Amino acid sequence: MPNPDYQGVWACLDQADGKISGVSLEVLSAARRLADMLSVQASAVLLGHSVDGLAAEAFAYGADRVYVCDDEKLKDYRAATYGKALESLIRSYRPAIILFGATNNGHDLASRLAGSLGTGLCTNCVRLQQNEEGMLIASRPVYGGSLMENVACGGARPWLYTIHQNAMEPLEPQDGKTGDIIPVKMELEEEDACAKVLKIIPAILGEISLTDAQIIVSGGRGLGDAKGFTLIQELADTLHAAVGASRAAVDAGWIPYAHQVGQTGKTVSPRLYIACGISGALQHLAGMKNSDVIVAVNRDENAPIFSAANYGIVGDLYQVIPVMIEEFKKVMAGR
Amino acid sequence: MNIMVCIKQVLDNASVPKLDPATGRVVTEGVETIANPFDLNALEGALRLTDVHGGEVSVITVGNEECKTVLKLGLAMGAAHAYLVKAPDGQEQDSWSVSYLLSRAITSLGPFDLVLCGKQAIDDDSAQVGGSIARLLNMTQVTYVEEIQEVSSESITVKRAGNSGSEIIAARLPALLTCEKSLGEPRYPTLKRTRMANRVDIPALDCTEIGADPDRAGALVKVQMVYAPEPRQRGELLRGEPEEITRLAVARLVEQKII
Repeated sequence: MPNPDYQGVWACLDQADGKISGVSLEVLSAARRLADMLSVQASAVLLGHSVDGLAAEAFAYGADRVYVCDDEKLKDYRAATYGKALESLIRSYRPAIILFGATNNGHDLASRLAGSLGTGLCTNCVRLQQNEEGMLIASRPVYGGSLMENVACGGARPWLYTIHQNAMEPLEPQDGKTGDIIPVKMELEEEDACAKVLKIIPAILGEISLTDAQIIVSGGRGLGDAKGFTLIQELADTLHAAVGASRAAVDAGWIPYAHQVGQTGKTVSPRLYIACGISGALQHLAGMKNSDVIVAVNRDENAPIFSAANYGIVGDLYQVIPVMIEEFKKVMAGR
Repeated sequence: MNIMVCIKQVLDNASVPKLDPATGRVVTEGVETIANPFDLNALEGALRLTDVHGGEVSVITVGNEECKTVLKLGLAMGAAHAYLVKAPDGQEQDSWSVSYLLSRAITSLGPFDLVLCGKQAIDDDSAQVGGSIARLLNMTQVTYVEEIQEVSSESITVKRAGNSGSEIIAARLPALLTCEKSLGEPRYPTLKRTRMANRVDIPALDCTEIGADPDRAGALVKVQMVYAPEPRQRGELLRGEPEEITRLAVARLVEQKII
């Protein structure tokens, strides 16, 4: 039942280095679509330091209103300060629904909020729609993507959802669109943070993280040794892609765990996934089979990876990948 | 250090979970179970801390009598105490329910310097319980911890996987951490400890014993339906001269505007 005291859809935006993250633009677009479906307003929430310049982009992607909480103590993401700021915003402005990006920080913040509000949270949603009874149904992958479940929140508002990357298309930005900016002043003390970010070690320059990547090139046991990842990296660089790996390659010590795709690594759904020398163990397939297009390179034409591949290349990856690099370079150079 | 590690019993991921067409739920009857892998990484991290700094590790789970299996594994790996929290009968539970019950139990069993959880469970992939417990207990919260670097009586320094890289964070104790696999490969239980664990009578705590209100422990998120994702269409298998078929595959990607 709609609760008239709680109205509107909020998108809580991730930002870093003066930019709204890619997934946050998807989250905002999802909030806009949901708000249209429910005939309510869509608002964006910007928490951080020196973030007021980002409001224009939030309007362009569909926000009717932007709550800006600009505070030096929000410069680094920290659960306690971000949580306190958002809890206080919720108490003052009472949204019915809040969407977050399904990122580490998004889950950190949303799970904290769920604890303080005692309201429902559905994480990793790939779809939000109303059923015939007007119930809001969230679809989410479970068991590492082997199954899907449809879930519905009940009870007190606001309901919380985190939105899976690459699941909901961002809207075309409408430049010049404006709306209300609501600056919010918070009483935050450094004491509140309980934690200090001493240092941020950025991802290696030019390295694209798996969860943000539009294209992922992954290597597995078929590479034969750690040096094989040099070739994988070269293909990835050609396509501006992230480098992934199967558990076998990680366990062999060829590449750090941060690159592992699969149920005990990262679940990914890029536009294009190129699996090289990966046989396609269950746990790997679960973690990548929601990619839009899958290309697999493997010598064994019975490898399970081919059951998920749109294009399966049966051959030696050391003969195939150099040709791929050469061909992709030609395509890229022609643009 | 006094550390509590939360463990969830999940279905063994060696096989694909099966759906019961009659109930539209995952078949759990007769299926092997394991401890959630990330929770065992958390337990390993906890044991390494007490190996160096002294203190005790406890393990806890929410569920039925069968869930004592994962607690026994925890004891066999080196935990000193184990607790089962019995979920109220006839009630559907979700991540909120588990967070609420665990937070009450941890309060009644504590105090703890640290509470550790896995970064997520590999069945529902929610990544929710850790953060919710931290807030319910008003503990410092650091999720996605990749490494524990330093511990003092007041604080812990960890490396966290943040959104734009790894963060080195000094967190005030008591703190709740959710742990990545890199916290440590779980140690093998010794035969002696396994025998000992099997003899331990693990207490099963109900709502009254942990001061929880059963009416608050119900699910806020209800599962409507579980289903198999749309199967992927079997694609095109290209065989032949490597150079030729690779060119063909690239041409297809360009034609379809994927590149």
